[in-house]
Amino acid sequence: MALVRRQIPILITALVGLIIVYEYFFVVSDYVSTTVNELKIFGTIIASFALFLGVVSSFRNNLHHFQRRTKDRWYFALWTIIVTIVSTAIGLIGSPNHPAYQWIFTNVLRTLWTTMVSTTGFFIASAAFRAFRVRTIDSALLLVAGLLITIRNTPVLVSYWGGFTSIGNWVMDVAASGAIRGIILGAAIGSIAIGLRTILGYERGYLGKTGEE
Amino acid sequence: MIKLDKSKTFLEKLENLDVRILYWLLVIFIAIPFIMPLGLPVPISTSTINAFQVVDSLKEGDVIMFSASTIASYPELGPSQVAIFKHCISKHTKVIMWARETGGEQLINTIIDDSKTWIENYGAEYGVDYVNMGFVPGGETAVASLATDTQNTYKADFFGTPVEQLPIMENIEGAKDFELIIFFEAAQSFLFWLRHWTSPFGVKLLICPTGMATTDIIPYYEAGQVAAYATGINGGAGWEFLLNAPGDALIGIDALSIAHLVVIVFVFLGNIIYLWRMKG
Repeated sequence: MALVRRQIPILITALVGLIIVYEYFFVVSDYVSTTVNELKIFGTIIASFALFLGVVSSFRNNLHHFQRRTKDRWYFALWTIIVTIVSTAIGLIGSPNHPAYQWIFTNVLRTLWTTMVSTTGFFIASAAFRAFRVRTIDSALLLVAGLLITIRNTPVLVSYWGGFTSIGNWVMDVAASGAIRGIILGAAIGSIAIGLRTILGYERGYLGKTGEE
Repeated sequence: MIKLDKSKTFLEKLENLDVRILYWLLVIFIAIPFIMPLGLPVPISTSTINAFQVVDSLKEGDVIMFSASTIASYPELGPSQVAIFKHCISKHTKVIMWARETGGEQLINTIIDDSKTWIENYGAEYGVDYVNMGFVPGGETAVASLATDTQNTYKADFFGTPVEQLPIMENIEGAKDFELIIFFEAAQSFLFWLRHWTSPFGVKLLICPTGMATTDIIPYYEAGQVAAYATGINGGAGWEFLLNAPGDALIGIDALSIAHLVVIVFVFLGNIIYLWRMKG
């Protein structure tokens, strides 16, 4: 079983990883180039299947909670099941361009997303009053930087004094950018390490439980 | 029911003000400009002007990859998407629109619907001058695949028309056939385009991020890897103004100013009360 569950997947990962990296950095023959293109298309097909798997998994999970009448949860589970069935049925029978599907998208999904994102504004307002305080030197620095960026993004203030833009831009372009560059370099080195570990078979989290750990 | 404890001092009461009062204040202040437009000034940032010039310098027939936003960032990036699509149509470019995440393909229909007048005025035709290629799953893999084999990655447009029947797709094989990528998003996924389109093929990248994501882009802009960027609703309002196509961003810019002013006042008020109490 170790061969099927562990060694073959690791070998496939290593081969695919090496071919993709090789094609990206070196001038290669048409044959290698075509193989890499095919592999990338495989990737999108696998991702499509993963989406389908996600829907099935979510459906099963919610069905489980509904059948067991899980406290404070079963009615949400039922609602999710109904919504999944209705939208899938409309999408399959009438295509995603069906007016009913478009209606659900515009009047339900989009509105809910907008509402959800907008609530952040309320949390920011609350935090501005209650949490954003000059308690220490560090918090004072954070407060000043935050205020300068907020002012820089307030059209009415910027239009009255252009200096707000210059100061805000300095914070963004010099102070924040410097910190972000450090994070980018750190993350890039981390990504290279993870990539190498995956290709070499040391990183096995993506295999799931192989029953041998 | 909001209750205030009478045994507390005024400052204590103010410091522990019910959060619902703050929420209502914010709602009222944001609603005012929508009911009574204030006509506050709209400054246009240099970054927006630069981004506008990138699109304005496109030539007739240039092919553009228009990567639509997710639903989550649509409230902030919707107006820019409509304004920039209108701009592309007015320049008689070829716009290939697609979504990297589910739901984006429906947003593209909304963008097209909101630009109908411009489409008619400039005689643009679906499938010839612009197309909705729908959603392609796979994240970075999909972006990489589009760079080298656009036709086989898409297969068909959102309405199911095969790629071979779409005149706009006739001579498009991959990234080398594109002049510009216009990317709308809140996250770091612009790096997918940078890695698979800009670095290997030299396709220019214009980003319209949400305000929150701008900091991530600046290092790449300063390094010359990102051609230009126009941030959030501010960028959208500037674009609408420069294009002379007033839309949702210019309507919402007053509300943005007021909302930011409310937050600034809250910060000052909160700190004044805090420092006063500490002194006492």
